[in-house]
Amino acid sequence: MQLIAFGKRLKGPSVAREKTVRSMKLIALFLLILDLQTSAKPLQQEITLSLSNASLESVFKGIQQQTHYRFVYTKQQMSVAQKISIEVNKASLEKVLEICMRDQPLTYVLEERVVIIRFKPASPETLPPTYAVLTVSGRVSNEQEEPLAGVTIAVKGSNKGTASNEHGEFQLQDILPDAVLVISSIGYQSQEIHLLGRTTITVQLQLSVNSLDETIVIAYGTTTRRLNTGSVGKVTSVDISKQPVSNPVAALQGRIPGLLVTQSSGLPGAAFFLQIRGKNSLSQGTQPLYIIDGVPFMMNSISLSQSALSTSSQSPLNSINPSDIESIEILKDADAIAIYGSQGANGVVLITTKKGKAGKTNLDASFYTGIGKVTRTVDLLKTTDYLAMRKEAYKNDGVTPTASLAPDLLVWDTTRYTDWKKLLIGGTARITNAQATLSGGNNSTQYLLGAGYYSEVTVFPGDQPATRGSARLNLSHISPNGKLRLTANTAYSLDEKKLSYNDLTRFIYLPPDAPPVYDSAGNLNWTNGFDNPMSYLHRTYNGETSSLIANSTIQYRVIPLLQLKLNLGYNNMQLDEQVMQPIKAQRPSATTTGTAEISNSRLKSWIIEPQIQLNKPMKNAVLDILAGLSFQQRKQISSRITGTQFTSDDLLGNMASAGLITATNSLSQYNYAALFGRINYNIQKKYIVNVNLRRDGSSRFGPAKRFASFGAIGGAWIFTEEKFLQQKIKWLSFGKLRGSVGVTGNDQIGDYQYLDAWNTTNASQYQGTAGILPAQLYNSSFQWERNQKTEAALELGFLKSRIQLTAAYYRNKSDNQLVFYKLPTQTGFSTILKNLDASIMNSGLELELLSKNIIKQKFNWQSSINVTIPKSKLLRYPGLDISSDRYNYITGEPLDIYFGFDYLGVNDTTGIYQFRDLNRDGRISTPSDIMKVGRIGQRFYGGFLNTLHWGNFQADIFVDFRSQTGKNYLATSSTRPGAIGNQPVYVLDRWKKPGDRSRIQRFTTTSSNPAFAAYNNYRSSSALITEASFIRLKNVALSYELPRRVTERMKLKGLRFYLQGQNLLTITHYKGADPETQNLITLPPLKVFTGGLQINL
Amino acid sequence: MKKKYDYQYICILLFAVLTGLFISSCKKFVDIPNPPDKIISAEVFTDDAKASSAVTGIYGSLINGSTGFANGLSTVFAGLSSSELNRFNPSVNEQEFLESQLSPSNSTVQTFWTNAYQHIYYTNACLEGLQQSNGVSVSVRKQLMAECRFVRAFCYFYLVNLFGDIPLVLSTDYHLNSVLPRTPTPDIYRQVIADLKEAKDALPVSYITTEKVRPNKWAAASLLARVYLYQRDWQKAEAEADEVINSGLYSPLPSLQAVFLKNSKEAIWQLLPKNGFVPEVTQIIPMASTPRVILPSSVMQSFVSGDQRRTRWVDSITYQAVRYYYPGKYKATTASNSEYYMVLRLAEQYLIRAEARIYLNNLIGTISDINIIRSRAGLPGLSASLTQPELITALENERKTELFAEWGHRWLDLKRTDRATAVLGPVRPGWQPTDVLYPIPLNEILTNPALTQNAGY
Repeated sequence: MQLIAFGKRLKGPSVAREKTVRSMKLIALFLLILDLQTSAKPLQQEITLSLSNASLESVFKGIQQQTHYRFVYTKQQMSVAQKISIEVNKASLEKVLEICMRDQPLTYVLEERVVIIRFKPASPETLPPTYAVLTVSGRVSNEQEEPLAGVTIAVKGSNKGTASNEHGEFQLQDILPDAVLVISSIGYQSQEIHLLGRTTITVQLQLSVNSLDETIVIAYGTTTRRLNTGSVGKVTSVDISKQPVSNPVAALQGRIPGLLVTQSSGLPGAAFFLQIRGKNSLSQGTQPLYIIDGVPFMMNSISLSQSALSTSSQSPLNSINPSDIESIEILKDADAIAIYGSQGANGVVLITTKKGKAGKTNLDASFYTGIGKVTRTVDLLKTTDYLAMRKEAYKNDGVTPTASLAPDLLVWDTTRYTDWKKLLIGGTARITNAQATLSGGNNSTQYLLGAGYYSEVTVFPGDQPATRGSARLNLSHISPNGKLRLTANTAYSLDEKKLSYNDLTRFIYLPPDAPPVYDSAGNLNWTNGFDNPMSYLHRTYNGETSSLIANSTIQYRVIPLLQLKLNLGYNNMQLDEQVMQPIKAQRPSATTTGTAEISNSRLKSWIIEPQIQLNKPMKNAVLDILAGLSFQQRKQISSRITGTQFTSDDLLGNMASAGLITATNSLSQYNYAALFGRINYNIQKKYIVNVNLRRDGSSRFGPAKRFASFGAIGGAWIFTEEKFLQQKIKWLSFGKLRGSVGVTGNDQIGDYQYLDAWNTTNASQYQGTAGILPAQLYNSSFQWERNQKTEAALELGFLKSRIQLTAAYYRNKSDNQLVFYKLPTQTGFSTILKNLDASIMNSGLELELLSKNIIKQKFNWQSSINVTIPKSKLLRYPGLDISSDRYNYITGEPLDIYFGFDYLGVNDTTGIYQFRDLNRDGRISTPSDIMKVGRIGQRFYGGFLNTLHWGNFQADIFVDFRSQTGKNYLATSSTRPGAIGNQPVYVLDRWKKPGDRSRIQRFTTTSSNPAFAAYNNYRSSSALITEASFIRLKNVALSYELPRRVTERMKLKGLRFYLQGQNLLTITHYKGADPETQNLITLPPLKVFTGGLQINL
Repeated sequence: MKKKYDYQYICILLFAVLTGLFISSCKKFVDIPNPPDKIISAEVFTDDAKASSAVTGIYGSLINGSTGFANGLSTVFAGLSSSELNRFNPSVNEQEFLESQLSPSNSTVQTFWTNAYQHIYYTNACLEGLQQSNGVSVSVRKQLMAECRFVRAFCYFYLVNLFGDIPLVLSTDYHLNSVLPRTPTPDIYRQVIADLKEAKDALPVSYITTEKVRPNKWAAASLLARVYLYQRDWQKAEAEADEVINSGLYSPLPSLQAVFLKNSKEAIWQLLPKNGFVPEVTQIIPMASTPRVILPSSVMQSFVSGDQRRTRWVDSITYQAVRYYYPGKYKATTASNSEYYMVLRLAEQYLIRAEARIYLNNLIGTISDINIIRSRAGLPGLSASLTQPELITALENERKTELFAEWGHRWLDLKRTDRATAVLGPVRPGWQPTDVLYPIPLNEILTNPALTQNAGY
C-alpha cells in the first residue's frame, strides 16, 4: 500500500508527483514553513475552482493551494476515481468535497488539517458497523521488500496484538473494521494503519529516522531536533527509568554535552551541582534556572536548621519523583535561553512531566529494590602502624607525650583495633522504589494518575531512613470544536528524612585503638580525648518536606491563526525540621543540658503568564509569533526556635521545658515581571530564523536599576534540503548549520540586597530591649549582570541518519559581573555586592555522536558518545593587582588556576616539605611566596552509552568519564600525619632519616616543630594538585521483556524484569576516596544494585 | 483579503495591549515592600527609642554575639599567649597561641580582628546616623554619640595592643575603608584618647539606666587612665585614675566574693549577658570530669600564702588523681542572672594610680594604693621601705594576682613593660621578640594589598 500526501511522498518509492512551483510572497523579514501542528482550519474557508473533466488528484491540488489542507490517499484510490467537473465560487471545503465525492467509490475523513480519502464501506447490510468483526492478515517488509520477523502488530486501544513470523506474515482475529493497527519494530519507524474495513494489508517499514523528528520541549513551546535553531540537550523518561536514582538530575550525569553534574556526597537527598557550559560568574550563583512544566522551581535549600546534614547539602529537587518525568531538556545557548532573559544566564533545565494519552485505560506499575555501598574509600592505618606513626612523631618533635595530649598512646588500650570505616560507613543502604501509573482517556479528555514511593536507608549504623511518597494527577481536555484546550497538573510529595546530625564519614579517621563506643553498661563511652561517633547517632535531624506543585494551561484558539494562552502555576513547599541534641549524646564534661531546635520554612510562589501565539502560514513559509507577559512572586517565611538548657532528655520535645528559648524568623519576597516575545520564521523547512526578546523587571535590584532588556537571534540552514546537495551527496541524509548570538542575565543575588537594612538578632538584645544592628554593607546601585552567548553548530546525519553527529562551539562572555566582592573585614563586613568591571569567557567544543551500529532483526546495537572540551579565560579585570582577587586570577589565564606555594619536595636532610621562597626572605609566607602553581578543573568530560537489544533482552551500559585535576587526599584532612587521628596508608611513605627520598615529610604533632607549619603550607601548595581523572561505569541496566504470547496468556500488556546498577566501577589513579567528590570527610557516592519488575495491565 | 487585515489588526491590537499592560503594571509589581523583619537605615535615627536601640545593640553584640574579643577571646587566648592560662586539650589553633607560633591564617587571630572591626563599623554607623539625624533629641544624641566614641576607643585599644599598627577606620564608606593602610600606633592612640576625652566630657556621672551596663563619665575616665598608663603618661594616668577613685561611687572595695556579681560596688562598667551567665565561663569552667582551661603552676605559685584570691578566685577539679586549677572569678554556669561580665573595675584604677605614682616618685602613694588591694585579699601591707625597683616588681606581681584571667591583662602588661621576652623566652622554644604582636590575619592581607604583615610572620 502506498500513501500519498499531496505534493509529498509519505512512503513508497513510485509516486507520480507534480512539482508545484509556488511563488513565495515576502511579507516580512521573518518567514517560515511549518506544519501547523494543531490548528484546525475552519470549514468555512472559501474555495474557488473551475475545472472540467479533471482528475480527482488535480482537484485536490487546487484545494490544497487555497486552503493548505493536505490530502492523503492511495494510488489505488486514484485509479478508481471518476474524473469530475467542478465550478464553485467561494464555497466551503465541505461543500467542495461533497461535490468531489458525490459519484466516487470513495469518501473522506477530516482530521485536523488532513483530508483522508477512504474507500466507501460496503453497504450497511453486509457490514453492520458496530458488530461485524474481521480477520486481518498481512505482511511486513523492510524497504528492500525483505520480510521482517518479530514485528509487533498491536491494535490501538486494546491489548490485542501479535507479531510477524519469519515470512513477515501475521494474522489477527476479531478486529473491528475501523480499528487502527500499530506496527512497530525496534530500529524502524512505527506506523499506524487505519484498517477502513480492509482484511489484508501490506506494510513496508522504514528505518527509523532517529531522533530528528522527535519533539523537544523549548521555552514556551516545542519544536523538533530538525527545526530547532538553538542548542538543547535531552534526556527522556526511558533514560531516567534505567537509573536507580532518587534525584532526577542525578540521571543527567555525563549524558549531555556541556553539562557537568557533580554529586556533593553519597547521603540520601544530597545535592547535585549542575554547571552548564562553565562557570559564568566569578562568584555569584552559577545555578541554572529550573522550570517544571512551565513553572520556575526554586532550587535553593530553604532549610533553616543548623544541622550539618540539612544545610546546603539537601536538594529541593528531591521532592520530584523521577518516574513522573517525561523528559528533561537542557537549554544551553542564547537562542534557547534568551526568552528567559535575566534568569537564564547559567542555562535552563526544563522538566516536563508525563501526560495522559488517549486510549484504553492503562495501568503501569513497577517495583525495584536494591542495596547501596560506598564506592571508593581510602585504606587507613591499622593499629600497629598507627601507634608507630604517633610514637615516631613525638620522637621527631623531641616531646614526651602526656596523657592529655596523647590518650591514644597513654590512656587507651593500645591492643585494640576498630575498623571505623567498616563500623561507620561500611553498612548497606537499602533502597526500595514502587510506582504505579493509571492513564487513559478519549480523544477529548485524557488523564494520568500516578503514585510513587521511594525509601533509602543510609550506610551509617542504625536506621536512618529517607522516604518519599508522591502522587500526581494530570488532566487534559480539548473542546469538541478544538478551540479550547485545558491541562491541569497537580503533584504532591512528602519527603521525610531521619538522619544523624553529622555525616559520620569524618569519624572514620578516629585512632584505630580508640576505646569501644559503648561501655560495659551499654552507655556511650566518654573517655577523654575520644569524640564518640555514636553520639552523633543520638543527635538527630528530622526533616519533612511537603511540596505541592500545581500548574495549568488554558489555550483558546480565537481564530485559526491566533491562539491565546494562559499559564498558571503555584508551588508551595514546606519544610519542618527538628534537631535534637539530648544530654546523653553529649560529652558530660562539655555540657549537662540538652538542646532542641524546631524550624519551619515555607516557600510559596506563583506565576501567571498570559500569551498570544500567532501562527501564520504563507505560501512557502510559516511565521510563528509568540508574545507574553510573566508575573512571578515568591515569598519565603521561615522561623526557628532553639531551646537550650533542657535538663532532661525526656522533655526535649516540649519547648516549654527549655531553660532558654531563642527564636529567629525571616520573611522575604521576590517579585518578577517580564514581557517576552519570539518570532520564528521558517522558509521551506530550509532556512529558519528565530528571534527572542525579553524585558525584565526584578525586585532584587534597587529601584533605579530594576529593568533590563535581553534578547537573541538564532538561525539554521538545513542544507540537505537544497536540491543541488541532495543529488550530489547521497550519503548525507541530514545536514544543518545553525548559530545564535544573544544576551542573557543573572539575578541570583538574594532578596533585598540593595537595602541599607538594619535588623535585630538574638545577640543584639540588651537589657531586655531589642537592639538593632546594620545587616550588611549598602550598595543600591548594582545592576544586571550580562552574559553574551554565541554558538555555532553543525548537525549531520549519515546513511539515513543511522549515524548522527553534532558539533557545537560556544563562547559565553560575561561582564558587569555581579559579585559578592571580598572586602577586608576592616570595612566591618567581609563582602559587598557590586558589579565588577571584569569580563570572563567560557568557550568550548561539544561533540555528540549517535550511531546505530547493528540493526538486525534479532540483534540491535546503538551507541552514543559525547565529549565536552571546556575552556575559560579572564579577559579583563581592571585593577586586578590591587583587588582581593589578585591571588585568585590572572588576566588572560583560565579561571580555574590555583595559587599556592611552589612545592619542591621533601628535603632529604631535614625531612620537611620545601617550597620556593619567591622573595628570598628565608621564610615561606603568604602572600609573598604564593604564585600560580597549576589548574584545578576539567580538561574534558563526557559519557558513552551503549544500548543492545537481543530479542527480548535489552542491555544499557553507560560510562561517565572526566579528564581533570583535583585536590589530593590531604586537602580535606586538617590532621597532620603524626597527630592524633588516623591517616591513609599513603603516609607510610614518609621521611625517616637523612638521605630518605619520600613524598611525605617526617611525622610531627607539635607546632614548634617546623614540620608543623610546613604541613599548613603543603596544604596550600602545588603539592595539592593531583590527577583526578576517572572513568566510571555509571549505569548498567539489563532487562528482559516477556514475549507477547506469554503476556497475552497472562492477560497482561507487558511484563519486564530488570537489573540495574549505578556507579558500579570507577577506574582512576586518584589517591584518596572518590575522585568526583574529592573529599575525605563526606560520604562518597554510593554504588547501587537494584532488581525489579514492571507490569503493564 | 479583507480578513487577513483583520487578523493582523487583531494581533497588533493584542500585542499593544500586552505591552501596555506590562508598562503600566510591572513597575508597580516589582516595587515590593521592605521586609518586615528589617528596618531601613533612614528610619533608625528618626526617634530616641530606635536610635538608643541601635547603640544598645552594640553592647548586646559585644557580649552575646558570636565569640569575639569582648566575650572570652581576650581572656582565654591572650591568656594562653602569656602562659597565664593553659589548655587541657589544646586544639591546633590554641596550640599556636600557647607556643607563640601563630600562623597568619589562625582562625582565632582572624576573629579578634574581624570582631573588633565589626563593632567599630557599628559605632561609625551610629555616629553617622546620629550626626545626620533630625528626629533624635539633643540630649539623647549627645549621650549616644559619646557612648559610641567610648566603644570605638575600647575596640581600638584591644586592636592596637594585639596587632600594633592597624587601619584607622572612622566612617562606613567601604570604598575608602577597604584600601586603608595601617596607621602608626601613636596615631591610633591619639584617636582613642580623643574619643575617650569627648566621651568623658559628654557622659553624665550617673548611669543612664539603673545598672552599670552602659558607660558613664567614669567608665571613659577609667579607660583613659589605662590608655595613659600604656602611653607612660604617668601624670595623666594618675589624674584620671584619681578622679575615678575619688568619685566615691565605687569604693570601698567589696569583698572578694562580691566583686564579679552584677552591679558590684567596684564595677565601673559591666556587660550584661543575655543568657544569665557570663559566656566566657563556657570556655573556662569544666562541666564535668575533665578540665578545660587550667592555671599553670607558675600562676599558682605567684599567690603567696594567705592570699584569699587563691581560694576565692581559683577553683579546682581532680582528673585521674591530678588536681587542676582554673580561674573561678565567675561561678555561674547556668542562667542564675547573678553575675555580669566585668570590663572596668576600681581595683585596676588603684593599680594604675599606684604604677603611675612609682614613676612620679610618690612611693608612699603607690604603697597605699597597692595595700588597698592587698588588704582586701587578706594580705599584710607592703613595707614602707620598698625601693622603686622593688615596687615595680611588687606592682607587677599584684597585677598578676589581682587581674589574672581577666581580659588578657597579663599579656598586655608583659608587652607594654617590655618584659615578654624575659618572661616567655625561656619557657617557649621558638620564642622570638616579634611574637609580642599577633600576625595581621592572612585574609586581610589578601583582600587589602595596602596592608603589610608584622615582622616575624
